[in-house]
Amino acid sequence: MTSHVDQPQSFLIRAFSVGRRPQVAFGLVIALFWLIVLTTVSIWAPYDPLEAVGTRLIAPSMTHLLGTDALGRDVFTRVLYGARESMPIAAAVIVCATVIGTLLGAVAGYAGGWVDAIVMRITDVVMAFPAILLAMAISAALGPGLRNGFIAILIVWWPIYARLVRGQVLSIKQREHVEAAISIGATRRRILQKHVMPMAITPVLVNATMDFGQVVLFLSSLSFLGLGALPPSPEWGSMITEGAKNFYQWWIAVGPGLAILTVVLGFNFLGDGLRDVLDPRSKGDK
Amino acid sequence: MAAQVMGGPLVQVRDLVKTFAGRGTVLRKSKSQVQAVAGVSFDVLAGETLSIVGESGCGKSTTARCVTRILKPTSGSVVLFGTEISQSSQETIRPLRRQFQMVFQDPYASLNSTMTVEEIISEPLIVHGFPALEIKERVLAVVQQMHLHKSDLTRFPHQFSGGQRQRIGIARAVVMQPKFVVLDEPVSALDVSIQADIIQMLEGLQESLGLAFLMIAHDLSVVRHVSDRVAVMYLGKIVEIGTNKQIYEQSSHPYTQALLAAAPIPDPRVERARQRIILKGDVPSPANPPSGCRFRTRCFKVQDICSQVEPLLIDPGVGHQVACHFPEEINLITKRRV
Amino acid sequence: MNSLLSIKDLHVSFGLGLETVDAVRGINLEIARGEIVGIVGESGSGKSASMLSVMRLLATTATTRGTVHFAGKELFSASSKEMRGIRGGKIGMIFQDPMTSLNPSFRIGSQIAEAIIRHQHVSTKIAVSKATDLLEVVSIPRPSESMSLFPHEMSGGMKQRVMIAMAIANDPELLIADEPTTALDVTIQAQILEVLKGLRETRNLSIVIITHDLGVVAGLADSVNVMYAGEIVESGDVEGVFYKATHPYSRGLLSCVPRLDIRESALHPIGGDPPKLSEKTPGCSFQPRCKNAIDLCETTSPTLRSSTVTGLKVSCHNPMEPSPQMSESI
Repeated sequence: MTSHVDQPQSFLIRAFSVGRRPQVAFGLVIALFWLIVLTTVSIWAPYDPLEAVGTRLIAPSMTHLLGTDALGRDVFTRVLYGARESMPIAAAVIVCATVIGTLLGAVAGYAGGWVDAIVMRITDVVMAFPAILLAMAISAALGPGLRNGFIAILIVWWPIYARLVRGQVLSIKQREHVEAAISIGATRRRILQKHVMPMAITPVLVNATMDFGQVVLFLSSLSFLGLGALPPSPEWGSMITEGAKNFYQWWIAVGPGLAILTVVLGFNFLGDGLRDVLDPRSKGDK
Repeated sequence: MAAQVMGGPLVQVRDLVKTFAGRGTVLRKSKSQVQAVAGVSFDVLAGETLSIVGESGCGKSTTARCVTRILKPTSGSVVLFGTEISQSSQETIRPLRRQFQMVFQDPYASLNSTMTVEEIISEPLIVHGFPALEIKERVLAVVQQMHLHKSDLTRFPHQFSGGQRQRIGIARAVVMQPKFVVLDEPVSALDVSIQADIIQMLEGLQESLGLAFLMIAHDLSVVRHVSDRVAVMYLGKIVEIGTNKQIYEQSSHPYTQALLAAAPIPDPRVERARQRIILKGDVPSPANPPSGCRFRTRCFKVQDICSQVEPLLIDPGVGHQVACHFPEEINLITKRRV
Repeated sequence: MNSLLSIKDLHVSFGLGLETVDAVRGINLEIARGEIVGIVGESGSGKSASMLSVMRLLATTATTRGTVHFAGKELFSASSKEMRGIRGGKIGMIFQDPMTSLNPSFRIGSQIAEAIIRHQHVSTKIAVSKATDLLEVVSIPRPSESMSLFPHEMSGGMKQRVMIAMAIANDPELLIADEPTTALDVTIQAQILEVLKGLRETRNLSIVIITHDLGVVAGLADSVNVMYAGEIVESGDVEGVFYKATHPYSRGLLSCVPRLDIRESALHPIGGDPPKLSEKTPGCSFQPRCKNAIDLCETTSPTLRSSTVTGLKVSCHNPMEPSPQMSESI
């Protein structure tokens, strides 16, 4: 028997059934949680993230859920505010990287020839370096600060999508429905827009979702190394650096560490779920 | 039609050659080339069905794709409606595409799964700049003609069965009311009970639109049913071409005869009493075709001359064209073993 | 008992998300020694699923019910170890796509020899010589040289021959051939069918051939079972089914395929689409497409019964008259 069990399930039903899987639900909750924190934290946060609000280095208690740091700032408040530092930038990196990567990858894959060769050699060069080293070198050259961190990560990130999209385009343009589009007389532009890209974009969305957590981690790593956010700002990576200096006050590092962990894990699960919703043929897990 | 000379063929293919670059290995970059189509000539007349049959790798699908200019022929000429298109740019061919269309083998792969049925069927009209109102009318008309439902228009391809999808594919091909449609294995991916449906539908369209078909197929029974003329291809060349009756009842090329003898007939007494021709071995690689006659490595009539001189596709006095040094008319379909 | 394989009331269902798909819905089948049995049906008719379940080769999402006796042994209650001995031992199997069952990284000779060693516990030397003989049996040219080929160096037809060689390596009593020629060209198909016919004659092998191609069955099988939507709707000896069928589906199937030897003016499509197996209807599953349907067909599902008129077993409330035109052919 051939593949005849193609159940016509609507997108919504599929999304709903995938969303009920515990992992995906966890991802959704995490993403939603951080989104709410990100947008509303200034309204309800118990303390100011930059002001000393108590004695230095107090252990966690009811008044300070995650204690205070070396300058007497409330760690819990700073962790919440940290979302406002990393996540918008991570989102910007993902958006810019997918746009640049998709455009270049699509053009390379569809045009082929020397255009393809040039784009692919550039990605080869970028990807030949360990990403974190290259990003460090770039931020070091540009100077610290989150904006430069953004530029550094963007430079090392877009080639991933360019390669992904190029591979997709190369395989999709061989399919029969593209031949059909040629045979009805569709222009190259129309074929790329209507018949190639809508299908090539699915894995990009999935990867972008999964990568979001990775970019947050990457950004924190740069900050941890002193290349990203500058000290007073409550960025998770730089908070961990402070925690490392006060090794016996574990709470200073644990708070932001947990924040990073949940974001990475949550968006990974979310991406998994998204793949199953967008592409019913690939069953992620059984 | 206006563009074409009165009575002349709609399609004229002459010495069509398509070469693909061969695949090399990692260590040795091979410069070998594969001639998928090695000099093929035929005409398709208005309103007729010409079928090209042959086994996988014989170049029949490549021929179809060169005729519809999905592929660019390496050499040779393809004249559609009086216009030479073999080397023209897609932009030059585009206006002509209103008059010739293609139906594909795989009803799953040939429809864009991200588009609705309406978008799929109306796309040719949009591409060719038809006014919106006419697009709506034509799409509705063709949907009815294809026994689809109006409510199907908003659904996506994956919500249909194989047969329904193939009808969508056919609707897309005929919505511009072309004069010539290339059918690339239009029923081979479908269940047998659905095949008859599609064949009937195609026959109906041919009648109502005065269509000419170039059908690519490997099922000889289907081909017998629908074709006016049949061309048999082997390793990139046509080995025999003639009318339906000439090919099925007076076949003269040993390969055609072997194909006919091998195609099973769903009738136990007839099938068991038939004369068998079991060919030896496999089709040689098109990258390295045999010298002389390409069929000689499997032929049951092979002689010395076959490896030295390539037989030309000519009428050796049997009333139709055969490329064989030793043609001999046999009717394999009614002849029985005693 | 005379039959080699006896299937009683076999049901197979697959869990698919929230739905269950009943792929096989209670079939009975007897296969005698040396008999070639054809199972004909379209995709989704359950013809493959039924035979895979006999071999206990279905995915874990499938549940099976019923009994299968092979040479007196019940297979559904056999241990996994016993099943491993039977698969590739007493029952050989070939599939549509030979590539899925051949390991691309080993030479075909060693793959066949391994199959022999696993079941017969003989020395490598003996296994290799047996394997070479097998290649001869399935008409592979230059057997001893072909032993050292890798699967990718062979054509589809040659690979299918290798599969047959592996399937018969341990002198099975039954060969299950699931669409063995569907992926092959017609001239190659003819070669493979000759090989299968030869095997029955020389080894008295029972063969179950699963196919959608009525022509293949017409030339090869002794008896034929027509399957539709998980049930056998008509069965009997090959001439009976081809010339005296009374089930509207069998008849529809026979008259909707164009024939090579007759140029008919019109085809007779069955119309409609095959049923969705996830949907359960109380009546006959062919009823929505059936031209002969009566009221009873909507409410009650027919059972397979012997017909006194034709000698065939047919599952229909309102069977057609045997066609005079069909039975008088020749």
